[in-house]
Amino acid sequence: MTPLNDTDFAVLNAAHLNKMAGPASIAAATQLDQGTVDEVLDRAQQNGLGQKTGNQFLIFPDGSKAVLEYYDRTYGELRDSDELGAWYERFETVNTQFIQHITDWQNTGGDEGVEAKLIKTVNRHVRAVEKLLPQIPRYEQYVRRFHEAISKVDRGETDFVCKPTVDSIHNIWFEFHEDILSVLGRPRDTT
Amino acid sequence: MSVIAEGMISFATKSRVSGVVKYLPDPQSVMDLIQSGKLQDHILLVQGGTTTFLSPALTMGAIGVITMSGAPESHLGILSREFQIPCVMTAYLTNSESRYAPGGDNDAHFKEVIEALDGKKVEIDADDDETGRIIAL
Repeated sequence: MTPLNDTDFAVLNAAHLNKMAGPASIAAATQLDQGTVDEVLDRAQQNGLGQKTGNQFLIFPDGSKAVLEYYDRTYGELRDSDELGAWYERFETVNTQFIQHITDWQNTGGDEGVEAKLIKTVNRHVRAVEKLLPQIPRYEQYVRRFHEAISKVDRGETDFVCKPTVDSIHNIWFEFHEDILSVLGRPRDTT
Repeated sequence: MSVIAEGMISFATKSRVSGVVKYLPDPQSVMDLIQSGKLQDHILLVQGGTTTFLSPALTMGAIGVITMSGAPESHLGILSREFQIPCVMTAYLTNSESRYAPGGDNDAHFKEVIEALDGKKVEIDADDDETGRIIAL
């Protein structure tokens, strides 16, 4: 299989991370134009890396494998960084707080106090992600997406807290978690 | 009808769902099930709460989920609440002493649960504050 170039990676990585993304949401997440995204997805489908199903693009295991090979190729050296390892350890603590806040928010029907704590945690996380930009410039997209989702929640569009079918805070967070694990070459804890 | 397994519910619901349990060990098995057009015939059994490859099945109308590890606060728990898909987590067999041990070697436990549930017609009862029940039909 031909190694993915940067554009192919950006598109297929979005499909790989989200697991249920469609061409339009991939274009929005990557900031690539729709024509480019459609062309990459069509080619990926021809090569057996995934399939368009309704409004979604389902990435196949071979597609995910190609994406993970790009991570291995691109971030191999970064994996030895003690600094990044320490960053991730701190993230795990924040991640535990985050999923608890999301759960509390769901279970309280969107309590304002819980929401304030949740947004505070996300803002803290965004500032931490910004510190990774020199090593991983494409993480700028996460910063932008978090800012956009937080703004929408602030305006009362609470679907952007954790609705799975929009670019919600929980979706972005989850994708980021998958992404940083792939950068580090660590398997996801399946518990 | 008898309760064959129990676990934590991701949310309480009066909605009773039933189907044949299908164990999904990997992304390919999820793709195969979706493409078979029989997704809604099955209650989906997966290992854990961060089994991310299940997401396409949730968006495409999965009716019920059982996990063998993981908490209601996990990614899958969060998604099941959003999609309102009844979900019993860290399920264990009521006729066995075997339980999931966080951080331990759970292979034998998972194998026992899979062997007991996979292929069985069951109903999920999640109408409780904490405990979900898997009832054999």
